[in-house]
Amino acid sequence: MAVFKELIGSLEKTRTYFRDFFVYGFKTDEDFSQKSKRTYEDEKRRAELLLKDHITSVKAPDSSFKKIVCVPVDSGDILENPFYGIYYAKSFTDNDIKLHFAILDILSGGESLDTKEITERISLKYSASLWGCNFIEESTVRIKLNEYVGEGLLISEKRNKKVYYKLTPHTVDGLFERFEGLDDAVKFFSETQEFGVVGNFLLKDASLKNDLFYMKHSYIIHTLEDEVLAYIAEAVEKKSAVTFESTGNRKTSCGEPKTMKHTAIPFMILVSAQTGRRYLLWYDEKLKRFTTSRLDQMKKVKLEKDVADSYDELAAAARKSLEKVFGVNFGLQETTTARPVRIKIFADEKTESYIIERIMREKRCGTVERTAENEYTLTFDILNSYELLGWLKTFTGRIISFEGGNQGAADKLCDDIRRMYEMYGGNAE
Amino acid sequence: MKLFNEIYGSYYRIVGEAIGKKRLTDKEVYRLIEKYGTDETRVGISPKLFPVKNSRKQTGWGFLKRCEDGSLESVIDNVPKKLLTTLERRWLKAKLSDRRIRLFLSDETLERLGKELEDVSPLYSPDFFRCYDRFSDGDDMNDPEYTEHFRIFLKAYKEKKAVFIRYLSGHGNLISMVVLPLKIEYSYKNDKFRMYCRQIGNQKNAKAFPYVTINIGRIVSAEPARNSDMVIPSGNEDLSFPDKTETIQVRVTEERNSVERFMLEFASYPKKTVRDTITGECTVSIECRCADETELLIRLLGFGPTIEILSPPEFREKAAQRVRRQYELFFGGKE
Repeated sequence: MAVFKELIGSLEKTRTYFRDFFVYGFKTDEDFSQKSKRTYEDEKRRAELLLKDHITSVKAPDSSFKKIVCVPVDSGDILENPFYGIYYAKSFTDNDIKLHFAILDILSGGESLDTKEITERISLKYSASLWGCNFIEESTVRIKLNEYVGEGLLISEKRNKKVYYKLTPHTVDGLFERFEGLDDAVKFFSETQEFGVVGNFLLKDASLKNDLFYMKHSYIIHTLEDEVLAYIAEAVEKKSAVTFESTGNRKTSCGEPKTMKHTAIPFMILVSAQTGRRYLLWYDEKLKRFTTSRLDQMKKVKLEKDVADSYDELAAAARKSLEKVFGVNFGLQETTTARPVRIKIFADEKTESYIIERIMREKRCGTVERTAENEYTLTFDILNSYELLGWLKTFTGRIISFEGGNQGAADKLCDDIRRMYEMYGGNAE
Repeated sequence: MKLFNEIYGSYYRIVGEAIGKKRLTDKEVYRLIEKYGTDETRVGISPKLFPVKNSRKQTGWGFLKRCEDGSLESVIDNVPKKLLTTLERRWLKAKLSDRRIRLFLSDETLERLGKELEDVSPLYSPDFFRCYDRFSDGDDMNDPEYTEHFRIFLKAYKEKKAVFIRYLSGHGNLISMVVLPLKIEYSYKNDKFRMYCRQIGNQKNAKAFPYVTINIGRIVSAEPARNSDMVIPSGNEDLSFPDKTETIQVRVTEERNSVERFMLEFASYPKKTVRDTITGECTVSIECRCADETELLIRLLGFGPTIEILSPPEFREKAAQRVRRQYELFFGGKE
């Protein structure tokens, strides 16, 4: 029987399970039927280990013997994102860890050595104790050295057709002493959504932890997308296209989520502070249009061809196109003409100044005008007015009128209000 | 440059710490495992880390050897250096362009750090992340006065000392008070820092409202409290900020993918969910701070008829009143 191993080679499978445990909190093992029972049990156990203080397993309410795994965490009550634990669980080989500490030791004196010298010194010093007197291949050492140059642990230099390696001079020791206030800054940024986990690495290196800042309205689950995000950031920096797979809400004929393959020119990440979603804004060369994909539904991101020639122009157009979007939806290709929307909202100017403040701070690309006493008119020149409806309904009780926009948007709003009226008891008063 | 990399992993950290100590006991190794690992790490790492007695074939890593006195000794000569990776340095470089960095670092420190990182490019550019629904009235963190107030509060919080402030309330009144910061919170949505504080001065309102939430952006002036009669509560007193919570129960239907949308949007709230396996509908109990009740109400209304607020009755009635008012506005009380 296979033994459970806490370390993992790839994040893809684990992040799906962790996300479902956290976001849903009602799924039983049967809901994870796309993989084997054993995979579910392993991922559940891994979650219990890494999210130890935050995870609970409860009996399903339908009187079956099924268990439900949930992670009921309020981001405002914790100082460290528990999902960072997943980034400390990467698997490796015996050779990886032996070479790591052997190379760091051999080069710790500050010398520059070539692969042959490093291999000889490792063999001389550590062949017996670490490799049981077995032979250490120079080619294996070279691969590790070059990998560490890529990670920045080593610096390489070519002299007389030979490559020499030495340790990077940059260490964590004294970093926070030399730069006053940097420890507090890293504590803060380690819990923010822009690659906060890297700050967590730094804190751990310095034996520190965030003991200062709590984050409200923070979607801690976003960190599970950070690996995907790192590839996208690299592609944007290099002005390259990427390919990726995306599993959206569409289903196959068998009821499984449909996976789509895309080739994309990526530009930026559109973040929602309110819905918990993050999107990649990209250009579809085939359809000649801008579009977005959710980061939590993306996998297998790979860097592709360099598109530097056309990149800057497209990126500028992408930024410009956002002026016509309320959220992330650009509408369908055939209806890419903006249709103005006019919305009138009631706010008692004597007693409800906070409503006017709300309108002003939440209107995004809209413009506001006081059109009558206690009446404020918002105008939006956007591609998809359906996107406004969710936000607009947060003003339920104050919407005087909704005009313009996509055909059917106003009807949908009226229909929703009618249904809510029935739901909440109509004219019960 | 990989983010998911074993060099940041807990096993490498445990080994690095163990061999850095040169000589240590089994107990000390277990303490390291407990500190950096999970409950399973001991099972996973022990056979590799501890030397195996009378073993012909090497199964462990061999970093530690057993001494005659029973202790463990590292075979690695030098203490491993804690090196900064390119990923970490590029991350730091990206933060130099974040406007919030000036809350923590002086101009001079920023300049020195910039020089230290001049050989790397930032991990991402300032416009790589764009938050499209963040409120536009966030704190002005470029304002030097804001930075000064923030630093005074941060220092006081770290040193458990009181601060004397003059503060502009939500109603526009100027209030003076002496407060002890208990918690610092940043809201991504509001882009604001708030300090949860305990009033400890002798003013009347300190007794009437012992716990206050201070928005840093509304502070007019702040200075460390100097008066000797500003007594900080004794160590026995519970200094945690009292957060009253209530449970809101909501029925979420599957219409318009609402279960997925709802669960994700409210992922930052602690909640319990029961799903009806036949209809697919969920009944969700959300734990909500009482102070955030209105915010929650409007967000729930944003879901329209795809969700229904079930309880508490007073909370449901608040939703119902708004819906009735809206119906009147659209249909004039009757269709």
